Amino acid sequence: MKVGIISFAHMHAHSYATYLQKHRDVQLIAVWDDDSRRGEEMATAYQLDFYEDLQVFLQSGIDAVIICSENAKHKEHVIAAARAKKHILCEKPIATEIADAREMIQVCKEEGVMLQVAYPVRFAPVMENVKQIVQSGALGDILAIDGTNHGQMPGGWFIEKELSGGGAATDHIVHLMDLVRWMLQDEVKNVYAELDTRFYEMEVEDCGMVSVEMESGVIVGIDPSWSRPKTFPTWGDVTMRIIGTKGTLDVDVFKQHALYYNDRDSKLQHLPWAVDMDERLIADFVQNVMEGRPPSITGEDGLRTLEVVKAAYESHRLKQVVTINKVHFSS
Amino acid sequence: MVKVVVAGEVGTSVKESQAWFRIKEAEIVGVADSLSSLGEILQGTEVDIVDIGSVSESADQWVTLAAQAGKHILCADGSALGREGIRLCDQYGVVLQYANTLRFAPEYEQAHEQIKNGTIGKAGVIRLRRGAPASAENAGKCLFQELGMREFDWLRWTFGEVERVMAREVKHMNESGQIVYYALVMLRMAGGAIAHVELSLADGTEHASFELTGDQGMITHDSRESIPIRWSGGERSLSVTFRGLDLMQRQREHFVRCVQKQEVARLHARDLLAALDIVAAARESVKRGQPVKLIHGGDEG
Repeated sequence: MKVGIISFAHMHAHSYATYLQKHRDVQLIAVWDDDSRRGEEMATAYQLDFYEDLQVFLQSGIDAVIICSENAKHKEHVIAAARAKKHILCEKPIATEIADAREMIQVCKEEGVMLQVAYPVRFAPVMENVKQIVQSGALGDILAIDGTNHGQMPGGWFIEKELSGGGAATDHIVHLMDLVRWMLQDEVKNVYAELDTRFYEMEVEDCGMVSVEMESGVIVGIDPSWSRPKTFPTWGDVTMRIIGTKGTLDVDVFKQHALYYNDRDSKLQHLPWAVDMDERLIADFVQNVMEGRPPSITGEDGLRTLEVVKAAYESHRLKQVVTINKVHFSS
Repeated sequence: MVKVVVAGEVGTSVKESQAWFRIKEAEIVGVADSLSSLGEILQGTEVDIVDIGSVSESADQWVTLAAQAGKHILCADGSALGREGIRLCDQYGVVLQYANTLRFAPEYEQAHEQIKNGTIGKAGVIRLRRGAPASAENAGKCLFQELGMREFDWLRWTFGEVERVMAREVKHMNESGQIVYYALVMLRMAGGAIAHVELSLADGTEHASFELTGDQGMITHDSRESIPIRWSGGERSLSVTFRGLDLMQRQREHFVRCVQKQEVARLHARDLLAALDIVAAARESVKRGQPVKLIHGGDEG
């Protein structure tokens, strides 16, 4: 199977490229980037052909694309790839506007190509265990989940609203929301959020808290803040406390690490030894394409989490709880 | 010598009495195991402080009696205090404090000072958690008052007034009759910080933690990790107190200095009223399913 990468704007592209190259059924052959210097550098680093023209790239013999462009460009790139009949793995969030996400899903359906959204945390072995524990009933009925997806401030285009669609809320609500929907097989009923820019001087929000009620009545707290200090020993965290009628489960997804007291750079660092979730996400996508299976994480999964992000912004504006009006598809 | 009456239902105030024995400048001049005996003691004896230990329901009547006699009051459990009693203390200018306040807990006291000194810079997101085991006794209780009041008071003491409160709660009775009770509270402070308070009556053991973030750094604490002596194996469990870190002693020493006018009270009756306002706002938010705006005068910075 031949694969190309559309843009290295999102840093996850490096990890995906590495694991695509390691995969024995995959030939990573092409890269397109609207930043031609970056594109050429990546072409050299990963020994790929660089294309300046997206249409020529799409005709280079690839079967599938990985899209790691800036959030606001996902729509253009997904639709172009779908029209060229390429299967797609799109970095999260699926899009910056609900209407865009809907159109992307529609076009992929029309063209008969697979659209998978990259929520790698589902593939962290820790999360697979947690999902199994939750679904086994060992915790009883789930009553509440309090989660964090903290990060350090990423900078670059992530803090330019026209490219990212928003700051910490756009970047970090979706991961936890996707995990909650996936584990509980439940949808969001309403959302309340307090957002703010308190850590850095910039246009987009860098912190906040989100309070969600699911259709089942489960209550969820999400802290999406870019509040990790520069001295924090790693990029951030994904944690959850899951409260069930029979017990509470404390989850720290990236807790499998050694601590490195690094005198060379005067900092403390995590040295993770867990199985890499990106490798498993890539393997899953490749297998789905090769076997003609439906995507593990659908465009609709991407859309549902985007709806929560949009509701959080609206709630922040209105200072009110916002009820989700789910976009439905005519099939 | 500061004169103390230890009050409360029969046999429940042993810990309080023992704590007073450790205070050099105080003496116990009476023990009242009923409201009427407290009334009698207050009439016939010179008393400075009434220490109200465990009472099964509201401490309001005890507080009212002591406040009307102009005595300073220390109450074991803040959640047993009612609005009327507190208001009376404010009115009569007597010092009213409760024993499980975080203002004398060394880790919270230090964090408060660090915040005031600007250690983390401009405060961003403040996360607080308090947990205790599920229990059959939780049925009629209000989680926000039972567990939340302490955190709300600490937040207000440290970050100033609260502008808006959004709360959600879930409650469930399991097969063994234990009530699992859990709440998430979001508070927007008037100073701009966003606070998240997690309250859980679903834990295995008592637990408290905080994570205070700002544009210059972060301070974290977790009671499960602050264990300098850990016992494992064997049947017994380990209970230790550390010299100088005994909460009951620290607060009583402060209280005595307040009565002797050597120190200004760290916690006032009106702070308790303000904490109760936050409790009420959280309850109201749960009821309405919407955030509740708290309009408050603001007397602490």
